[in-house]
Amino acid sequence: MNRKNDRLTSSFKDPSGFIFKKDGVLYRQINPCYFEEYNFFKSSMLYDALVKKKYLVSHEEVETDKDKIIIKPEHIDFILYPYEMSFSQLKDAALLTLRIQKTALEHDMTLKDASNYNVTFHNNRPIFIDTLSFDKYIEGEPWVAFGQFCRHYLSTLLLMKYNDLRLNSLLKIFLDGIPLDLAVSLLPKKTRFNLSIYLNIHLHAKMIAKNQGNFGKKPKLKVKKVNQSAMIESLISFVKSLKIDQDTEWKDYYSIVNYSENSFFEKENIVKEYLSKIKPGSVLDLGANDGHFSRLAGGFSNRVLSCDIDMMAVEKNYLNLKKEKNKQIIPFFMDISNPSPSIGFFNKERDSLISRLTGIDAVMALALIHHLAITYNIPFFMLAEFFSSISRYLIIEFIKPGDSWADSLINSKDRPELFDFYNQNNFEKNFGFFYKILEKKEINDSSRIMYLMETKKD
Amino acid sequence: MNGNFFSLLYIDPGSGSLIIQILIGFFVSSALMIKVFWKKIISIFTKKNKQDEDDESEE
Repeated sequence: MNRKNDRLTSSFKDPSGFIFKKDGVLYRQINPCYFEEYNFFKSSMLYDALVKKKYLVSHEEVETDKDKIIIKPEHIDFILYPYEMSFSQLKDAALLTLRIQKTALEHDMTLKDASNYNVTFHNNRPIFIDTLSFDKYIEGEPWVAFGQFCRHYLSTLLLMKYNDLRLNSLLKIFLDGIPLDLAVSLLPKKTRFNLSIYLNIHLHAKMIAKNQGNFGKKPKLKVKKVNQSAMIESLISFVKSLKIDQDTEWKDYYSIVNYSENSFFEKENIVKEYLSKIKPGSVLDLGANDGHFSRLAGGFSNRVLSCDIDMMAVEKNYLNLKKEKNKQIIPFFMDISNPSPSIGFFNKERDSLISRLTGIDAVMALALIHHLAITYNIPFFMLAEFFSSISRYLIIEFIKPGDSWADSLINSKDRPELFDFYNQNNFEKNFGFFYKILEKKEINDSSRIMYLMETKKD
Repeated sequence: MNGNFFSLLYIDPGSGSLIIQILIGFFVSSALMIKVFWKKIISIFTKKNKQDEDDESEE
């Protein structure tokens, strides 16, 4: 298998192996330096245990010789990054990581990498995707990934809980997790009085600072296995106990519409009609709010990516889907005016959000475009170009000027007269460069028009 | 190039994260032992021995 030019840059740090794509299929090569661990991973039955519990992505071996082992992992549609997860998604990813370490210890192995890029969501459950993250456990060895776990998960979750839900965006800057000294300086003082937070964050940060001169003389430390297991158990119960104050956060959170119930039903029926016409395999719902229309789209497609700019809406969407055991819909955070960029070394380590949005058949943009065109000043032409780059079909709602919400957005601008471009003709003209309009229906008793469009072939 | 820059290049964040585990591990397992011991004493007086909840079934 020739994989020289297909190697993906996201795994360059790992000497144990790397991932590469061949004919659009993802493979992972394991290098000889990791053969011993990989074989033990299988013979200790840890692989079977983790796959059985649906903790780890399964794989099949496709090629084995003395220089390499090539495995083909189960296909994962969409890789979600930690700064696009809501609080509970990140919390579930943290719990998964801890449970994997607990299971690994039971099989005399240990997780050497607790990075939150190793966990994504598949069938709306967190799943660990790095098969090469396991080392043999040596009796008395402390958990080598503990510091990383605290930076990647614990400090992020605590900052989201105690400071602001949007603070996981710091992970875009700190690729190896939020440094504990920074977390300490941001967290409120009262967190010192919580024993778990004090030990795992505050005292931990002090120990790091105190020992930073120890370069070259790594201390030989022993932590009994029973003590490490107890530490993992206590971390699991602590992370499980972390909750955001929903009563205060959700107090003012509800869906409000400025049109009648009948119009809302009509809008639902039009969306259903359009979806049944195009039968998309995969839908991206932009500005999904709490996922009402994503659920509706779920009735017509296999997979729905449901994103919103409001972290609380994503959280609500995720928790409801979890309760409903809905596996079709993946909620996540996305700021359409500034989607996650590609970051890391060479800007090639973590892919941009747009480049990860692949295999999508239809984009839904309901009650969204007035925000993008008016609030964010994005021209219709660029919006059409953006939507058409993602999928073949577009279901879009245009809110005419004169609508109370569209008008309030325009009137809040310094010079409302500059927004004369915001009208139906201009909208259709600009979208017409990229799309042909297949259907167009006005919603009665409202200023809203629903379009079904298909991209023009070059 | 000042001292701060030098120390930034040569910090060893690993040691602190390892040392703290001795403390946390010891602390947590002692607490667990006390908890188990206490449960045993309680169970002498209460016949019903409730099985521990399975953590994973909740999620």
